[in-house]
Amino acid sequence: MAAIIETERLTKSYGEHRGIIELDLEVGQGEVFGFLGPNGAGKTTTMRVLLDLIRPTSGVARVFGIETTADPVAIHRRTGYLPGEFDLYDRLTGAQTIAYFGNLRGGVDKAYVAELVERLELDPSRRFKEYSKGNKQKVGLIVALQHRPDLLILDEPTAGLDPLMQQTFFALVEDARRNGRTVFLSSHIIDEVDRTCDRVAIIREGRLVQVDRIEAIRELAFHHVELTFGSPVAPALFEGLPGVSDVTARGDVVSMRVSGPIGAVVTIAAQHGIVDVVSREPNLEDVFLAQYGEHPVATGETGGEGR
Amino acid sequence: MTAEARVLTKPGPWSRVVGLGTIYGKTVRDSLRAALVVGGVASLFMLGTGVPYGVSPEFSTVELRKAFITGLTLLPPALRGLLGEPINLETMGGFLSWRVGNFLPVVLGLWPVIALSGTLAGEAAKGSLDLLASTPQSRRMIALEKVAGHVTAVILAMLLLAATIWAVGAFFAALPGDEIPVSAALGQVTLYGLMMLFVGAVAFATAPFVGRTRAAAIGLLVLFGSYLVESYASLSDLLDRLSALSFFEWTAGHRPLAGVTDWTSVAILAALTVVLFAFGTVAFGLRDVGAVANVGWLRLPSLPAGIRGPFTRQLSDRASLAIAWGLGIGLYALLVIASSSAFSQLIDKLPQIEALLRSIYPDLDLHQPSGLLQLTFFSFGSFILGLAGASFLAGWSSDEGRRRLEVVLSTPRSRASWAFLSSLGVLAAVGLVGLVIGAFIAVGVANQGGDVVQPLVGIAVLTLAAAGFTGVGLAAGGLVRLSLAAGVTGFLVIATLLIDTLGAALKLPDWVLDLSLYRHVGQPMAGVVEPFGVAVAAVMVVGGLILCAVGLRRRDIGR
Repeated sequence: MAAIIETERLTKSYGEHRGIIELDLEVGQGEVFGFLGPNGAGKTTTMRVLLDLIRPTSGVARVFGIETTADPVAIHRRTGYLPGEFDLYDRLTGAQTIAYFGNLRGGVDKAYVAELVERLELDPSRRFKEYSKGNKQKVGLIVALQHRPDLLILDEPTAGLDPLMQQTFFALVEDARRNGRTVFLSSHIIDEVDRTCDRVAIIREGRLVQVDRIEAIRELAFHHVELTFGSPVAPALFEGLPGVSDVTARGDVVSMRVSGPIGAVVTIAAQHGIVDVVSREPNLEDVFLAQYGEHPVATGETGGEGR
Repeated sequence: MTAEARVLTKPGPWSRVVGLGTIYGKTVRDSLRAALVVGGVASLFMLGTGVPYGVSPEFSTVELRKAFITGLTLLPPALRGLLGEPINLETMGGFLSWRVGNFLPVVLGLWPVIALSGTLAGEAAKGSLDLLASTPQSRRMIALEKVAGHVTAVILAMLLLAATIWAVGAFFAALPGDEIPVSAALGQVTLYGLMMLFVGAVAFATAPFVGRTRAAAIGLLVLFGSYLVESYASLSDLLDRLSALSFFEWTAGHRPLAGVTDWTSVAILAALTVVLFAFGTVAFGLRDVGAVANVGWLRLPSLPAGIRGPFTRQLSDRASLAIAWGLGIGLYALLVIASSSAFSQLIDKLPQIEALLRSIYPDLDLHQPSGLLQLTFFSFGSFILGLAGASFLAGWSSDEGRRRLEVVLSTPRSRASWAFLSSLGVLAAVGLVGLVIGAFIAVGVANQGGDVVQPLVGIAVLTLAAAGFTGVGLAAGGLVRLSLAAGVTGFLVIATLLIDTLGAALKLPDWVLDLSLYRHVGQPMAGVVEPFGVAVAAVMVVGGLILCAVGLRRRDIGR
């Protein structure tokens, strides 16, 4: 799979303020790649560097094999971008706004624009300033999609969209994937990434801390294990077992986090009259919270290994 | 991208030039209205000056014109200073060039400074530039197209002005030589246009580094500073030396309307303008979009954050600008005061000038700085003070335009209370301008050994009048929408200036002349205050506050 986005030790600092630090990333053609992180983690900075809106302090970013600072126009020609925050031209209507950006791209497929307008249920006759937040987002999405770009860079694309429109957006992403296009989207809505992305990267305080397929990331994380016994059991029995942490007891029930194999826990439990075992598979949210919370992910690729 | 057969949108030739076909076209499209307004206002100045010159009996013969010129050339720099050099005043073109020529670029220059400081930095601030820069246009091309769009708009405005100048000469010529050739009109507006673009280019070149607001401030500083330094160069050695830096001084010899040209100076100004535009374009291409250098130190003093309520919030937000206006107008007042001794000595030597002035201003003591302030500062100072009020209203209205007001009013704060207190904050900002000017005047006049009280009373009255104009804007904002406020006040201030400066010459009826508030306040800088005018201004302030509060209670928010 050809790499559409590549970064090598990409760093951007804003004077004393941190931006992104030594980011190594690779996104392949046809991938839907999620970029997860809390506010201020560096998601938008990364996207702006990829589009040469800001220049790296050090390191290199390439899109379509082109260094971003070398020929940004060639990159832009094949890219659609939706910023996380934008305010367009108050006095233009939605149709005029879309047409303007279409013109700047040298023309777009009228029928496809009409289709996008219809699918996103946008009233293009209203002035931009009259639009609700969600409708402004729809205009931004159409601007990003209307030229059928090979790469979509979307910064929090569903912000402001109602649940029905979010479904439409997911369908548009699916269309893009089916047509071999690449989507690089940032979000802090885990469900959105969970539903749309093939792979996900997690960024924390400017550093990439995890990159993998979503399923793999889930597997790398701990399980919540809940053991029910016939009578109360001392939690100390489980403390100290490999990969076990946060052991608590409430009546006949002992709960714990288990990273890695669960066999040792089951063996001990079997010796003390276990009645029931519940092991909950982690979802992306658990991974995310583990990355940002007190509990580090025990295993997994870390430190900017892209693929 | 897949190569299916598609019908691609294609912008027509017209929309590439003035429409949504290109960045250039959109810039021209967005600037057309402003170009018409600027060209129209400049034309009004020319019409208002040229028509009376052509039809007035005072200028109907060569002898009368020569007598006028003789009296004029005797006037000291303090009186002549803000006007142009008196060249060939016995012709319509020479008179227009002298009476309007120097002052007009100052008024016109405001537009390019504001537009070109924000054409990229303003879009960057609101986020739309990110989208624009993500299209297949190089950054330099984006900047170049925007600059070209603004240059086109300035050219359109100047062509309108040139046509008006030509028409004034063609239709109102009274004596041979009054006709103005098209080439002279074009030559004159070429200079005006370049002067406008030069200050705009200063703002454009600095904006990538210091951001929109500071770039606009630098552009305005260059504009007003150059104008004042050149105008008052004869007052002191320091100003004389500084005048070498003034582009007004460089091009003072180019007055095609008066039959004098200095194309070399125009070419130098054009070259500098191109260099500045090129610098700004390259800087925009090289720097991060929306990034501003760490220039936090480059700012005017301001008040604390002001979070106690709508009054302190509003005043705090307007304070820096208020202090800037105060410093600018105060320095201008200081220049006038500094020339008062020289002026006093001069009229002692030229009794005919003193007699002439006494016939017009019988109550003025021309040997006092206060008298000179009334004579030379009152009109321009009051105009600028009024514009300051309009600028504060523009900031005030952004609360509704940017939908902050909805958040504010979602707190247990009534609309009327917000309207009243925030309006008071705006008026307090006008008061702050007056305070700063007053401080300059007090120091200057005390240094000259003059009576400090009179000019301070005068500044208080001017401040009240500016607050009155601001009050009308507040009322319009409350009743209709906040974004209307600045425009209403700006219109009133400009209309009042036009009535004051051109009304008598145009022989407008008294009831029209009486519409000017300043006609009813006396000669306040000299301590002569008419209570009627003060009362009217006070009513405008109080009425504005009340109407704003009442209006905002009754209407929808966010219109």
